[in-house]
Amino acid sequence: MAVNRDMIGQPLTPTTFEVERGKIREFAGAIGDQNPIYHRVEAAQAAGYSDLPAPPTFPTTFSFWGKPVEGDHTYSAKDLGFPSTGGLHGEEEYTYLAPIYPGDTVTGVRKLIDVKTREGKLGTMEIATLETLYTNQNGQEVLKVRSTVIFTGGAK
Amino acid sequence: MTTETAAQAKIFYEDVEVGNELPPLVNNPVLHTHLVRYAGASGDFNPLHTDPQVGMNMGLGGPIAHGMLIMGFLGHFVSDYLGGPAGLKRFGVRFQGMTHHNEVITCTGVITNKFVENGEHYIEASIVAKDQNGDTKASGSFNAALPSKG
Repeated sequence: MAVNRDMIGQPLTPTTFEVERGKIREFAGAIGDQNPIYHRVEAAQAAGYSDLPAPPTFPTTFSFWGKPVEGDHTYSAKDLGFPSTGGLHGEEEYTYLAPIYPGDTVTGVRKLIDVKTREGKLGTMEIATLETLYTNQNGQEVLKVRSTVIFTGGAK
Repeated sequence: MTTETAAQAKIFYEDVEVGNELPPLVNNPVLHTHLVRYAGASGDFNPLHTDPQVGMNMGLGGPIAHGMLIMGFLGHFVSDYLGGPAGLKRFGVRFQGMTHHNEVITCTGVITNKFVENGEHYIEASIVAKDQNGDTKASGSFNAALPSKG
């Protein structure tokens, strides 16, 4: 089996991401959301936000564009033993703990928390669940993300 | 990319009843340019989404959309309903089908629960994204705190 179960509960190297207005506008545009609160600061403030708020799935940028914290190396994603291709995104869940605004620096710590094996039509599947907890520059927890990734063909 | 939205005034807890349907969001057809744009915005440059040959070679009949783009459509739909992301507490989906070029994704939802806890007024809803044939691409739920008139 591919996924390294010894990694369950082990924190990966933290990653950081600086939240910027331009990225929020770009992301909202890319999902077709032209709500002015994601594009114009005055509109956001008129709606009660202190700045452009992050759209609900904006945190996906934290993982893809975030960078490892230098000098804080523990484990990398490679240590999880995931196959390099063929992973399917099964589920994604966000728990929002506090607002995220431009100017914030969020730091995420990701852990593999569960691995399940199932027999399917395509052979043995492995279902890995990852959880990432993000804190901001003040040490406040702002977001928890839980993702499942499905790997098929593990029995070949 | 512009999208037909159903803009709504701020909703209050007292205005919501279990069984209420959320105003649907009909997205524009998913085009290759949208996938390229979403790849750049999100940072997910998996060529399965942006290089037509990769999806063909994998036997998928062409590129498929990022699952997170479909969740993004659902997030837009939820944000439109709530009037913004402020009250959103939890939002989760399960991905159930691949989306190809030119498919039209419609987001719908229904209120499944409402309750008061520790003085906060919460609603829960089930949500789903389907294509023009009614095939489900992603489904899930969200919880949100709403302002109360009381």
